Amino acid sequence: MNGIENILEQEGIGIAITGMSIVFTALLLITFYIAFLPTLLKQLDRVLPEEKSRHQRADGKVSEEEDLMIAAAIATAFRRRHKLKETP
Amino acid sequence: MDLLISFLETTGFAQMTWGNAIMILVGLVFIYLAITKEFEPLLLVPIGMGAIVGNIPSVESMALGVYDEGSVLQYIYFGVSNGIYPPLIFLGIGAMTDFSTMLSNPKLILLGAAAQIGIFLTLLGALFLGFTGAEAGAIGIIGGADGPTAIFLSAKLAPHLLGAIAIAAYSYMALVPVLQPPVMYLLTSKRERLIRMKPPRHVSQREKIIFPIAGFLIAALIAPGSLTLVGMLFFGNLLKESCVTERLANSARNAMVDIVTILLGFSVGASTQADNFLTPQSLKIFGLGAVSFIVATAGGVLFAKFMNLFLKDKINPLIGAAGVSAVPDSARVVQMIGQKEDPENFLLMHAMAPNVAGVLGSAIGAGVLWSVLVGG
Repeated sequence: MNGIENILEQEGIGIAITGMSIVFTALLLITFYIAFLPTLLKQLDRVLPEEKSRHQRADGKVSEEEDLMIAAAIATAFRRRHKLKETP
Repeated sequence: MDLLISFLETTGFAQMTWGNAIMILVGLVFIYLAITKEFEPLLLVPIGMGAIVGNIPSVESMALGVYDEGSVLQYIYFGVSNGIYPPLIFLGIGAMTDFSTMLSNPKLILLGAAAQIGIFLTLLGALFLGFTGAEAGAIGIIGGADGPTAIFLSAKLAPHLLGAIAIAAYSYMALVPVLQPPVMYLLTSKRERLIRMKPPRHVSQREKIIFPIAGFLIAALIAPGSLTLVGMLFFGNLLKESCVTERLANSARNAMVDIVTILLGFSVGASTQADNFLTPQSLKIFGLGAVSFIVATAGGVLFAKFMNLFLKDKINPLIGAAGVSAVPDSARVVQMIGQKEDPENFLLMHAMAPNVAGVLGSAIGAGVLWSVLVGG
C-alpha cells in the first residue's frame, strides 16, 4: 500500500501533528524556563549568594591565555580567513 | 591445479559484482570529497574506507563482513546496531557545546523547534512512498540533520535500513553548504539578510550549571524516549560547565568522541554491502533525505520571519536555517551568507543558539517517534 491511503492507514498525519506539538512544547517550556531563570537566580542570590569559582578570576575578566584560546576558536570558525597576531 | 583454481574462485576478483564495484567507487568518492573539499572529513573518511572494506566479497566459509555471525566487524557493528555509539557521541557533543548564546536569547530556541518540521513532513513523504510506519519514522529523522540521532532511531525502528539512512544523513550533512543557501536566498529578501541582531547578554556560570539539569528534566519528562540521547548530551554539558570535572569533560569531547566516531563511521560504511544497500528503497531514502533537509531549512527560515511579525528587536531570518542540527556547519553557512551581504554583520554566535536547540529538538523528535512507532 502507498499514497494517501498508506498515510491514513498508518495514522501518519496524527503522528506528525502530535510529534511536532511535543517537540514544540518541550522547547517552549525550556524557553520559558531560561527566560525566567535570571529572575529566579536573583531571588536565589538573596538566600544563597553565588560564590566565585576558583576557576574564575576575581575581577571577572578572562586571562590572556583564555583570550588567545577564544581568538583561536574564532579564527578556526572562520576557516582560517583571519591571521592571529600576538601583540606586545 | 585444482587447489589453485579453487583458491582463485575464492578471491575477491572472482566474486566481485557490479554492485560491489559501485559501492567501492562510492567509498572512494567519499574519501575524495573529504580530502579535497573538506566535506565532513572526520566522518566521510571512516565511512568511505568502511564502504570499501565492506564491499570486498567475502568467502562463504569465513566470517568477515558485518552481517556474518561472529566476525570482528560484526562486533564493532554491535555498537551501531544496538544504538550504543550515538549516546556516547552525544556525551562528547554535550562536553563541547556552549549553550551561552541559547541561554542569552531563549526565543531563538523556537527556531530549532520549527526546523524539526523536516522530520515530520519527511515521515509523511515516506509513508506516501509505501514505507511502513516504523520505516517512515526512521527515514524522517534524516530531516533532523543529526547523524547519531538518525543511527540511534534507525537501529531501534528499522535496522534493515540503517546503512542507507546513516549514509543519507551524513552525506546531506556534508552537503549543508550546498543544500541550504539556495533555500535561504529564495525565502529572504536582501533587507532581511541585512538585519543586525543585538549582541548576546552575559550568562552567569550558575545559569550554565543549572541549565543541563533543568533542561534534561523538562525534555525527558515530556518525551521519555529521548532520555538516552538528551541525558548523555546534558551529562556531557554538566561535566563541562561544572568546572570541577574538566578531566572527564576533556576525555569525553576529545579521546572518547574520536574513538566512537572512528568505530561508528567505519562500521556504518562497512554495513553498506551492495546486496543490502543498492536497492530501490535506498534511492527513495536518498530522495526523501534531500527533501527533508530543504524542508527543515525552509521551516526554520519561515518561522523566523513569522516571529519577526511580533518582535520589536527583529531576528535575521537567515539564522532560522541553523535550526537544523548540523552543528556547526549550518551556523557557519548562516555566517557566510550574512557576511556576503554585510561583511560587518556577525551572525555566527546568534546562529549557534538555534543550532544547539536543533540538536535538542531532533533528539526529542526521535524520542517521540521511538515511543509512538516501536513495533510498528
